Amino acid sequence: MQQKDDQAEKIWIDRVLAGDTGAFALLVKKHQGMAFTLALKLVKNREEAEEVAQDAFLKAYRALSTYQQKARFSTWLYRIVYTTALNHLKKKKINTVPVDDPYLDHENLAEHQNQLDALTASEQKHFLSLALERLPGDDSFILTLYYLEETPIAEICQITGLTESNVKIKLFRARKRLHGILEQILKKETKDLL
Amino acid sequence: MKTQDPHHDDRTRKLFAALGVEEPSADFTSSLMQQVYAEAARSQLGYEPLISRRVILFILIGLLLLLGAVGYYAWQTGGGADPEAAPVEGVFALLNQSTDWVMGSLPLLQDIFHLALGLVVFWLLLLADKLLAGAGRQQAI
Repeated sequence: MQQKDDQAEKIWIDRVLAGDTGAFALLVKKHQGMAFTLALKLVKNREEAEEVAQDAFLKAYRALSTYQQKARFSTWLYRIVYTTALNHLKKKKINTVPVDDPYLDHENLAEHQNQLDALTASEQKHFLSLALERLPGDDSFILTLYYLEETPIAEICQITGLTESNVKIKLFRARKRLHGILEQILKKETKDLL
Repeated sequence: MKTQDPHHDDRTRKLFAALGVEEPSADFTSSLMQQVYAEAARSQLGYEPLISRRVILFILIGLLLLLGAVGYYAWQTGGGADPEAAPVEGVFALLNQSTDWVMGSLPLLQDIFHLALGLVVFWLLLLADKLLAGAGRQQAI
């Protein structure tokens, strides 16, 4: 299935390079959801994320002739999304690294697990979205790539420019932070209910 | 990925399974494609030559042959070039030493020569511009 998708993409890319600009819309439609999601995780604002995603697609169009089809198109595109979003944040001078990190210290795993299990699927989705919004952008980005898009670690390295061990450490910490934030949110919810 | 916290890894995987991809606004593709079409039109205006590359190549070769022929003619007829020099040096000889001869004796030849020289320089500048634009596009990402 993946191979078939890659083949179709290759045909679309060749068509664009041959002058059929309209074929680029097929690539956009296929990847706009994930490109927008990843941009949103980093910039944390829907309008800005759309701007970043559009900018990234335009850059991809301009540089399509330089795309070497050794890597998957999505990997190449997400790398552009990542750098475009980081540049956007740099321009706005937003620091994505938190100064203190209280969420790494939670350790009431059993209670946290029970709380999560008690939630319905839609509640889990709601609270996870809330937690991802509060998570630092690069943590949220890397978790989304790994768990939602199921991108292999080697490809995450290509996208972010980090080493394999760095990606693994970042994933470990991001996961811990995410569950720490989830725990806080759920505690607050329980308190509010009582 | 097998890590030291399989509990969190499994739990996170399950959580994300429920989370879908966010969708941008409905006009995302259309507004982006408008920009892409504008970009395509701009790049065609800026870099697409009116004459195809093959024709440009033929013209260039023709111009170089013409320059060579003029130089050779000048050398053969003693238009200022060293009679002992090789024919390939005719062009340089013409440029350096026999301009007066060409201007005085063959005004038409002079015009053609200058036109050919101008076109060669223009073509080289166009080529350099294309190469620089290509390098710029690669740097942009």
